[in-house]
Amino acid sequence: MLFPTVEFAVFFVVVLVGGWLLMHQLTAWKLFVLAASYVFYAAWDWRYTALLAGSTILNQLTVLTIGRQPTERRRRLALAAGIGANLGVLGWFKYYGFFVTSARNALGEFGITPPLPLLEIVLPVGISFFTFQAMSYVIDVYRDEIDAAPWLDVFVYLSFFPQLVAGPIVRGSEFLPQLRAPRDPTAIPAVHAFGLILAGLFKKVVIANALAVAIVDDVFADPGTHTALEVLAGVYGYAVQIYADFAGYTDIAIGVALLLGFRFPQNFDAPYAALSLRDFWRRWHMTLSRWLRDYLYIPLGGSRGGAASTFAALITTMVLGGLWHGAAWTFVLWGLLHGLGLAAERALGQGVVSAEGMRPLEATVRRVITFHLVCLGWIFFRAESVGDALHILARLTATGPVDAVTPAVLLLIAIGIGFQYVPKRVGARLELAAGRMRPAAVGAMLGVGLLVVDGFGPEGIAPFIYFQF
Amino acid sequence: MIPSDHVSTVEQPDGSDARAPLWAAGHVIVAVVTALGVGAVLNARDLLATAERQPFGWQRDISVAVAAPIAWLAAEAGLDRPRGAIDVALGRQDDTRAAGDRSIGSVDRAVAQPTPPGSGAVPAVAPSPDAAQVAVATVNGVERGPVTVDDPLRLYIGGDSMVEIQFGTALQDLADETGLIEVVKIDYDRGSGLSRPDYVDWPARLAQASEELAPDAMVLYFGGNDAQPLKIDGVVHEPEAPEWQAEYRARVARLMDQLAEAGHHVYWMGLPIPQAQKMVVRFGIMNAIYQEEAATRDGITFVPVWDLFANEAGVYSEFLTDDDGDIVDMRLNDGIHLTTAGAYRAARPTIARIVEDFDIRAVTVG
Repeated sequence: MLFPTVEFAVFFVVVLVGGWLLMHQLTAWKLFVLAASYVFYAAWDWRYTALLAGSTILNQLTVLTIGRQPTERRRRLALAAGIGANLGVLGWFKYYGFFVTSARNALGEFGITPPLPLLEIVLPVGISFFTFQAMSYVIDVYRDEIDAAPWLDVFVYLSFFPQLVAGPIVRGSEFLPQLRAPRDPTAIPAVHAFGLILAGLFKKVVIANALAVAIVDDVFADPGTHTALEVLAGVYGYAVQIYADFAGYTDIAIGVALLLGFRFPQNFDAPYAALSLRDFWRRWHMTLSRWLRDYLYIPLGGSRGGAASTFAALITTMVLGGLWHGAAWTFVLWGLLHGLGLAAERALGQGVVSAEGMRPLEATVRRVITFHLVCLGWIFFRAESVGDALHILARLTATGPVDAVTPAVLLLIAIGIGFQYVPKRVGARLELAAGRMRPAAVGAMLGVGLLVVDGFGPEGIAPFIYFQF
Repeated sequence: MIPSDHVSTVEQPDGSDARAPLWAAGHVIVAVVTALGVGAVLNARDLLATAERQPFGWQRDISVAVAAPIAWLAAEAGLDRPRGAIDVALGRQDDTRAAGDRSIGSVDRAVAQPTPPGSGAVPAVAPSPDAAQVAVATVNGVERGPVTVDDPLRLYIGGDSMVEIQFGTALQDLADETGLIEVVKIDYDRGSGLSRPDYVDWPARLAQASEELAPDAMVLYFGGNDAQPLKIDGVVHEPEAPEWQAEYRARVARLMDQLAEAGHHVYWMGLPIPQAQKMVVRFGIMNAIYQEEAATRDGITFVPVWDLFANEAGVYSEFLTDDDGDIVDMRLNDGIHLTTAGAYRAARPTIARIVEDFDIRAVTVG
């Protein structure tokens, strides 16, 4: 059930009305929203609701087991077992095919056929997201940062439909306390939520989908027939497409959650205005960045050791972050590029995150360089193989016509990047003005917004890019 | 107006410190319902088209029953005009719509391009006029001359999601490699096909493409969405029913007649073996229709790919061995569509057949 569909609109109205009617009976509300979330997930494939439920049971049992252990060593063992089980499930669904085909093809060079069967495993949508959320819950309880939550709360937390399939990755410490008492039915930041939803729909339906059709898919599918400027526009286009697609999704998710009374953490903050790669990762997929920081980078040693161990921790974290996106060497290289870049910035003392006191020209140069480093990474991220990525890079020297770089493509890219530089106060002022209007008037304005989104978007809705991760 | 006590400072999720107005749940519901209502009316035509596009069944019936009065109301009140204006401005006013429509540049751009890694099963040809061989084809009854760099074979690729999901671009890539085939258009519409002329009228669309683009050859790939019930004389029939098969055969035959009479060389792609057993039966029925009807008409060639996607045991397999001996994922999770590697597997025999039919094989580069 995709967000920008009539099906979801009907579903959401039912959940919105039912949810607020039941809110004063907290247990009934939880059961209602739990059922709604499972219906939402079952719309993709009902069989995977068992996986979601199984994951929830596994992690809650892990948490309860950790709490019963008398010694630290046994607590750690219980934690390791729980984390191992989570990674095992993730590995089975997400990486089995990659490792088996890689092993068979590598060993096949020597005439060896390993006894590893090729299985047709369908990747359950959202598995990476809810598994990471579950792991954060288990680790936070182990670290005594939060208490074990009641069963029903954990079920709601791990299945809550707005963030279930593509984030943001909401931690237990952020979400579970919101389940302890009914949400206030008189204090909903509705206009802000509407703004997020409309902006998210526009980013996804108009910008991301249109760029994919207009240039990105063509350039990445067949770079050999495109010249340097066309390939460059295709790469810029993909940078904007993936931002608009993913940030659009999380905007809608955050907005929908707000209307239901829940607050999610921010997931994007103008990433293409970043001054460095370090700054980029403070602005891009922020909930994954902090997950990797808190549960991987810091346990790996973080910056506590010498320079070499810090670099190793950075690179390892980013490579594993790349693998989180998918089982392919392209993602490994994407992570490696970012890891090396972050290490180089650290070594050179260039990982700035604030333009305060910086000359405008220097800030502009830093932003341009950072954007292009990120685009270099996106080439590997988007290409189907490392060979394809190198082929695209090679085409950046090809001369010839630039027919594919139409004014519409340039406009979409400009809008996508321009979004990053709109001051926050502009949106806040608009919200303040709209918030003083009658609800029906705001609704009518939103309806006109839906006309723009549906009218200017291409026919059909492509799935969100991050659903595949 | 919203009561003033509902406007207070709240921390924004994006960290800004703006004063965001807070609403009561009832107001939120009013705004949401109003937004969806207004949005539905303003987009009524598209809403109805989306509803009608669904496969026949109770879900479609309900959707149409809801959307139709909204569309009527919008039309009567003139509220569908803004959407109509947008559609006209974006060139969507044509009933034969072109959702995914990619007009490709001239063949000169494809000449002597490097071969993408792992894609070269078709012999590349030298971009020299000397390399061109004599080929004879008729377009709209007019005989064309030999295929040369200056007068390349004009190839149109059309169909449903089977074209959209990798096959179209894979075929274009292989066509480009020859240096003598110009892909004039990759024309697809997801969810279309011959089962639903009410959604996309492919005979009309192909007639238009024929007239505007004057292709020498057409590669057509339908069927990904065609194994759905058909409404015949008010009764819905499943593909296993004789009535369905007779009607679908008639539609295929009419389209083939139209294209053959226009003098086109048409390559009609067969469907690959699918994963679900139910679809195996249905795709088998459809392939048989395509093959039998093509066999009775000059200029229509059926390109079978079923066996290319079966394993040694003759059954569906997601992973298959490629030309380099590597095991590669060839099918998407839906068990129907092709990955990029799978698309190249289907495209290679197609382009090879075109190269052979038009006798445009020439000196292999390098």
